[in-house]
Amino acid sequence: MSSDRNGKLILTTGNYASAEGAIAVGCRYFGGYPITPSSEIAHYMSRRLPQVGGTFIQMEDELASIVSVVGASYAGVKAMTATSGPGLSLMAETVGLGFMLEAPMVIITVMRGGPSTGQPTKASQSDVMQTRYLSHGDYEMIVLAPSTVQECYDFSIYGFNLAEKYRTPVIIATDGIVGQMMEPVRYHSNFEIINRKPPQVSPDEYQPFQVLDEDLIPGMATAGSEYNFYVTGLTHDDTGSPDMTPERAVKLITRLCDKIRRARTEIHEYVPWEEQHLDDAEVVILSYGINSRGVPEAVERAREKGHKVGLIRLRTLWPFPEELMEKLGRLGVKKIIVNEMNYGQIIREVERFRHLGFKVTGSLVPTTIPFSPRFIYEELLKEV
Amino acid sequence: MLRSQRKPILPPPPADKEYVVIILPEQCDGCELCVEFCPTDVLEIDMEAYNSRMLHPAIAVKPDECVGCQQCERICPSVSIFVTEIQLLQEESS
Amino acid sequence: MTTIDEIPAPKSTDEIPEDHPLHERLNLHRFIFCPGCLIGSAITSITSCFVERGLTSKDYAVVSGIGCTGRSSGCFNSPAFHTTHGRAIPFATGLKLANPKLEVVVLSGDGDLFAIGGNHFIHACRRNIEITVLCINNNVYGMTGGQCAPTTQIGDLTTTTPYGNIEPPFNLVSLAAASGASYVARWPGYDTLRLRNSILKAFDNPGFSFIEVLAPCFTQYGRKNKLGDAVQMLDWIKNQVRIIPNCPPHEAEFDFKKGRIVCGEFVDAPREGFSQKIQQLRDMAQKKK
Repeated sequence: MSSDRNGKLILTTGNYASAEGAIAVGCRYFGGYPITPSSEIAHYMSRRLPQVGGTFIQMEDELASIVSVVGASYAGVKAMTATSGPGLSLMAETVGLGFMLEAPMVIITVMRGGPSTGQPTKASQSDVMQTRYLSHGDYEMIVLAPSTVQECYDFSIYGFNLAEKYRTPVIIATDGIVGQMMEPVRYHSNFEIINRKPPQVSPDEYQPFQVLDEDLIPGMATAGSEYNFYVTGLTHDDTGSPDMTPERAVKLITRLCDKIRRARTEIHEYVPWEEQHLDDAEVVILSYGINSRGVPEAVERAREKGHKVGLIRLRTLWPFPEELMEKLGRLGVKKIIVNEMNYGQIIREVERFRHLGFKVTGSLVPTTIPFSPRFIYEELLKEV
Repeated sequence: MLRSQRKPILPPPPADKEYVVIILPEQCDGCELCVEFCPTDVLEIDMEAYNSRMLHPAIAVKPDECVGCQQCERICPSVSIFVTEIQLLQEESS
Repeated sequence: MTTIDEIPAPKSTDEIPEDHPLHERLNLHRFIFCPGCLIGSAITSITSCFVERGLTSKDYAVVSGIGCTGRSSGCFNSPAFHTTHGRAIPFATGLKLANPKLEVVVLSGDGDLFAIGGNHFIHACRRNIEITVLCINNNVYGMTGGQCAPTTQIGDLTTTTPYGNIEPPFNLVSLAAASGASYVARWPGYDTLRLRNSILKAFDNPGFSFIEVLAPCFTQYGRKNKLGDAVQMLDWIKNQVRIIPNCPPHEAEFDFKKGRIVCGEFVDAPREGFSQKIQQLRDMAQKKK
């Protein structure tokens, strides 16, 4: 658990890799609250952040930890927190604030079984809809789902880059198994670091939410600079002043949502889905996270028997990859089997695209252990 | 204290500074706090005047009485009244 | 009826400055308070303290929560943050720790800081984080329509206690002192001179400073309890205020029934602030590495 590995292969857990990835990309503030199974991220941060001149603080609850992250973000520091389902529920309101204030920040949620206290020490994928529809109001969320320890490291980097680029909260949804299992991982440093857009005009002319570019992202001033600004969670105009007119609400909300919606293809090119054997596949298994680890073996076995089967592993869950669905429709896929460790969440999203000509079925088990290759294979044989 | 060491109690020296109280009627809410807090009753609410928000602004009815204590400036919740020295103003303008 | 042009101008018209000395520090369009509400006076007091300390907008930030006082952060021409309900203190904590050079002021109401944000308040006191918290205490939820607050006194009428309040209130000074704040004071909002000196002292204090400002709400609280308008309510509270020097915090009485509100400085025990300790921790960690 020491600092630099110079790109050598080491053995570590997903939570440690997530934390190290965040530090590698420049995260210097962590406000956290212990919750199983995400606590190791706080452990690692409490040791590493002071070494690199950052700030670790264990706040009094999840509400405080996420709000302090928004505050630190507005002081010009890359900031993050880590939690699990119940903690994420408490953070809901402030994720909305982060979206409204356009504060870049990263939340790692290590999913565990729910609802309520559920199964703290077990894994699950039952918070996928929670990560998307967390706060009230209209908003768009970027959610990445790693399935290996190497991806934990990489997705922390990608998560911060996306957050800084689009000035929005980003959630990285790992789960209890990915977070706590050990795998070889390379702490590489061949990645670009994206920083938030600075103010584009002089302090006299600056308006905190004035958009000057095509990408709908305003330049961000931080506290302690020459810039004066007022930001509020109320519906606001370009100057940040509260404005309750319906025209302003329409303008603001559409801009905030379109900022992410227009960038959907770009986000999916940055963190693309993985696909195998799509050229000839008639049946495709769609999975993500830890539950996708057993699929390749099952698919290979089925292909050996002569079944035309392919697989898709989502890595960016939200915004949902509509391009992928259109591609599957174009390729003439007959059936999509959605494998999830919950009682049906992403499958609803896939079902929206049934008009493209494929059937949608699912292996939906709200279990705490990922599907074995044998189980996936047997389920597959029922469908082909 | 010895009688010889005592100092006689004298009236305060006459004020050598003149103050002017400036009211920004457009900003004034007419809440009367300045009227209440002025120790020399310089200010009053002008019940015949209106500002553009249809509120009665305060007015300095006895401007010569102002002692420059700045109570009105400090208490004003709408930042619409302030006190400054006439001498200072004259220096600035000259 | 006279128009605005007919108001007699003060003497020596040509030499009079057109603008208030604090106007460039404040955004007057965002003053949304009832005429006579002392929140405005508190904003002026803080701003004049910034001026007196020579702080420009890159040196300070104002954070507020939700409510009447929550809207006050918009009045400052500086980095100002209007956060979610009750979360002003953790927001300020993040801001201060990420940029320790900032003078961070939290300006919020009693409902925001002590009902929904009560947990954050006691923990900020415990940590002794270097922020200055001004609580504008009006004993009621003003903006949402005059509901019972954790500072509403027993027997008081509000929109949610039509038969009189039955819950005992918090004594904010005792709470802050017991939680470990290193500077605790209470002043009536009209006593702007003492309030200013107290704010300056809080800026100098290397730790958590808490100042309670009494600003009675005549629109909600005064109307329900038949206490009159802004001036009458100020008079009512003025008759109860007792300023006692060096009063211990457990004797900081706040009781409308007895007619006794003890004001003054209750705790002035500077100790090392949290961001200094974090810096020491960083130095230690970097040596070990």
